[in-house]
Amino acid sequence: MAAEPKNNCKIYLVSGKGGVGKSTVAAAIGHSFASRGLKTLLIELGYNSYFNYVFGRKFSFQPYNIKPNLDLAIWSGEECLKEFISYYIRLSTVVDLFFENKIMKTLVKAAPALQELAILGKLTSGFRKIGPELNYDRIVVDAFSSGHFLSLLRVPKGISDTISLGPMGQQSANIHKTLINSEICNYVWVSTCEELPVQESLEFIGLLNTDFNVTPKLILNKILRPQIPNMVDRASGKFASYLQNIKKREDWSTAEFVKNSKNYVESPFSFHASVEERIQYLSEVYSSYESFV
Amino acid sequence: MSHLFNKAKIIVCVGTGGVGKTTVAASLGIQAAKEGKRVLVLTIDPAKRLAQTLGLENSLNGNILVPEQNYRGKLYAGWVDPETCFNDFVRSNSKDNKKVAKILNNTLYKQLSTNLSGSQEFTSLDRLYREVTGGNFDLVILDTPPAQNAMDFFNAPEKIYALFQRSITRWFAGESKDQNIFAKIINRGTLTVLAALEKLTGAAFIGELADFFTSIQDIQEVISQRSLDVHKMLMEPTTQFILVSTYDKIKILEAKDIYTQFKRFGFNLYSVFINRCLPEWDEPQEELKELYSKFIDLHKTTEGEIDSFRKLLHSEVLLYKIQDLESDLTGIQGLSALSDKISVALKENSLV
Repeated sequence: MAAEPKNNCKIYLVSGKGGVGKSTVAAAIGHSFASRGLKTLLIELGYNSYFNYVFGRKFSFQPYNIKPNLDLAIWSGEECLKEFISYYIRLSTVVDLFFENKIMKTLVKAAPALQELAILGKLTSGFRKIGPELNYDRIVVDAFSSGHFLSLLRVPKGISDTISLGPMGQQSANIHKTLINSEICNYVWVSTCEELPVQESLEFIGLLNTDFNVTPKLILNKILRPQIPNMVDRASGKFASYLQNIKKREDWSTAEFVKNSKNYVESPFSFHASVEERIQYLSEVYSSYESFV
Repeated sequence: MSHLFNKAKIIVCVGTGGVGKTTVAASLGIQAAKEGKRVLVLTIDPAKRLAQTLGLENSLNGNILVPEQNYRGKLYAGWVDPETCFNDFVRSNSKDNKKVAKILNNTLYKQLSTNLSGSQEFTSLDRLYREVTGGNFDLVILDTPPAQNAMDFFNAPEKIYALFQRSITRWFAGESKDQNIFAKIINRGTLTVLAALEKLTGAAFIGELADFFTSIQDIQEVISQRSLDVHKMLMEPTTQFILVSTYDKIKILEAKDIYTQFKRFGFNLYSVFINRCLPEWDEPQEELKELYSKFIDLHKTTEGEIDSFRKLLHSEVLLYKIQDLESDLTGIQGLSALSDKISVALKENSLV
């Protein structure tokens, strides 16, 4: 039986439209937890990693320590599923048979929903007291972008609604329950101040609310407004008009969120050339926000 | 006429998420229509505003004549919705209505036809194939789903084909004809595995699995044939790829990796577009100089990365910097303004 999970462990799932800086924000959130002394795991979903480019090394399924209190891992559905199966079928000969079997190989690779369930199953295993536990205070998931993220979240309910009998159905129902438990799972939605991301954010925050009764924390990323001198309105020239446009966009976007009663926090535009420095800088900003994380 | 539109019957836009692939695909479509082509832009999961602009808001299937156009040619747009397309595929390739209903109602099939499991990739390539063979267009432009790794897109359909293999269906469907002793021995192992799987998931799940594989037997052959046809179509010289990236150091690094993979697979890469590049500004007033120099420093890093990408590219593959629009033009005017910028780049290429 798995050990009792730490009561204070919390999961943060980060999503948003592609290109808004979701991974950087997720990493900065992880950093700010870690610098407060909380043992934190940052997880990137998928086979190919953004963080490989940022930190200039290959990360994998096994957590790798990137700074004090902060580990980074990349989870693919296939590896999560393999781990789950090995954990349950303790008889090694059967495990070997399982993975050598051609049909099983195909099934593990391609059967609909299995990989998605395995990812969410591993993420929530400690809380459901099933499978190997993740021994961390905070887990931050740099998840898929908008539509793909919602499809992922819908899998456990989809399975448990139709296959309610047996371990698979029961576990799926439990995973869903854990995902919508606000004591455990927190959702973070990242947007930038441009028309397409703003509209997509309003749409998906709405869907998360109606489908999962979840209210994500909204982060407006790459905000430049506070760094623009006030005199820009009276200035002329191409650079000034570029800044005026940014200001106009940011004013419009924030007004749009206010109009739709969405609270947000601002994440500043960073001029650091290296993403690693950018993450460090943002994490310091986030740590200074009282209500933030 | 741009060299690209003369050469290509299919243009595929690839790149990582959030670089503006859909916008580029739509703008290329506008440019081709301006040059007199009858063109279809196929898009997957477009942003809402873009879907509105293209007239796709309430259309999950079929091709729509894009509103507000006055071009020499005609611009159409189509939305590849994985669920609708997959259902269509099953309906059109299975003769037995009862079986079709059974497949469409199966829990696992429903999961398969969402945008997980590689069905987005499968359905968009299938739709592309049907539109191209249908012969209604001079040019079809495909906007691919976002993937960290572009090759995911071309590999994903294989995941689907793998599922439809005869061996796996036979296993679940329990066909036992023409088995030799060797097959029986394998089967004993398989039985152990099946028992383990059942212990893990329960009989209800295994039942659904068996159901799923038995009902899809009919469309197996069609799926594997389609896989071969699509692959052949993508390798033809009339299929040209455009790699889209954006003005950001990491995005350009990702694009470099995609390029390397592309070369290995032998796809015809026409050019690389770096989207949303910032223009050169004149030195501003004193009060703005500090911010100005921060921007210039940041751009130096990005430009350095672009230069190194340019050096990596094969001499025939040109890299274009597409300037960001000065103002927030949205709607068809915005796309049209972008298409003008793209056409300048394409004309340069015709001269080379």
